[in-house]
Amino acid sequence: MTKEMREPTFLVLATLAAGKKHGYAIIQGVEHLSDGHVELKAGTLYTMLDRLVFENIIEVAGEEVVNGRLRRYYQLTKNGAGELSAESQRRVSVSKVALRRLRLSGGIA
Amino acid sequence: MSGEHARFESLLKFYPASYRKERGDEIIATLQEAEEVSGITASIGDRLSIATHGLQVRFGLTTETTLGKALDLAATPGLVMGALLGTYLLIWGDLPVMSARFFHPTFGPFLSIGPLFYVVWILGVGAVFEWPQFRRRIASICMVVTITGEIIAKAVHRNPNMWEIALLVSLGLPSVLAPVGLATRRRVWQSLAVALGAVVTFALISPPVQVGFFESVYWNGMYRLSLHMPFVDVLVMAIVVTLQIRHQKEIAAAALILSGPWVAVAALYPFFTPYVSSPRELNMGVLVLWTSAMAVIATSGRYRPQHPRFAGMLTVIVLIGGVTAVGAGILSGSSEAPLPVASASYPCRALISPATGEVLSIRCSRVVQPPGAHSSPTTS
Repeated sequence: MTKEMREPTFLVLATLAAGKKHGYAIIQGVEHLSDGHVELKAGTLYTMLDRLVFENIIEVAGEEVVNGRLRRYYQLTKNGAGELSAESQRRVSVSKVALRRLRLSGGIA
Repeated sequence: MSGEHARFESLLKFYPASYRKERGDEIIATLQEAEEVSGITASIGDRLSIATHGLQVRFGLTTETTLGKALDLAATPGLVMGALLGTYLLIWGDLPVMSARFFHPTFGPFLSIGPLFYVVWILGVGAVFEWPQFRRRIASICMVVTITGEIIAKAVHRNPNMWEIALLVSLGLPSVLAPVGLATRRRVWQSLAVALGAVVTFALISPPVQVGFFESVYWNGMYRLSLHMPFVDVLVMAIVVTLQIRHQKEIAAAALILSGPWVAVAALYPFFTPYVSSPRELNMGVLVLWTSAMAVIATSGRYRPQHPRFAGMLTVIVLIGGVTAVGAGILSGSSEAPLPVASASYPCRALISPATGEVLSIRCSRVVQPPGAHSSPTTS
């Protein structure tokens, strides 16, 4: 995994933090987490899933057939959970600094 | 099979059979579910994203393959190399041509519109550093503007040296084909170093820097490139082998990709200018070696296409060699190589027999007798 985690990847991993999910559930989760700002196309999703599986960030967590359609579920690996945790903490600490500076400069209450 | 399943299945044709078998049903299920929940038919964007992903998987242009990783590594250095090469050509290629007194009355203020293309590339790279997320789009724009501009320029006789333009366009290809469509800022210095190295090498093997048309890179730069390329090839091979030994195969592959346009131009240029003497066999041998190495890299992806060797060769030849060589050859039409009249100080153009390679006539502003020409030279 590269040190730089881009927003869509972060959103996918954050979606999977709640537990295993299949393709369309991930698309919905990303849309929900980003307040509709990030809308993953199917091709983009599978490009990302392939890469994340290859980098051992996520793994296949089983399959089931619902209404005659194949659902393949994905979940975070231990490595992936660590990556997501580190990235989340980095974002939180940057946000805290930003908020503190805004308060000091009177930007926000 | 339901109608909608069949409709989506046609999209899966873009994927190689092995991938389709493993993931096809899952992708179709996702598309069907999205349609069902939203109540909207899959958009063109959705279909395009599937088609693009399919083609990327088929040709190994994904982040998991060596080719994909190498293209990603080569993308920004290729663009920077293009911009620096453009700057070099502007100063030592086109400016001496434009300042040549005898061209002004015939061709107007510019002999060619090459400088405009170079500016597009320089601005393009600046834009990539400012908006790295749009690297692929910016590279595509630079390539399209250059190719379209060249075709128009050809029609109005303001054509820059086609081989130079082919080099530029080829250097943009990795950015278009790379699986990641954006640049990362931390690669800026690496890109600059790689590109500077290439341009310095080109400067060392190109003509000495002097003012005047016949000393310009425009006139005989590609001839010098073809003549001295074997030395550069040895350097490239040494770099690639060293990187392979150090198990840095992606960087080695990226070095191969970046050397591709130069290798191809050096090997193919003499075939369009038969009267120039250069180590053709050696350059062709290196081109064959390079093509074979790229075919191996292109076909060693996770999901092998049904005909890996064919697909790999096709990818390499059509996308890189093809753009470089065929585009240049067809559009250039006539040779712009140095004529064997080194002492001449007039603009000349040679008419060469395609069958024998013999110089039939040379059209100049004054009569020039080519050595060994049997027919009488003509004047313009």
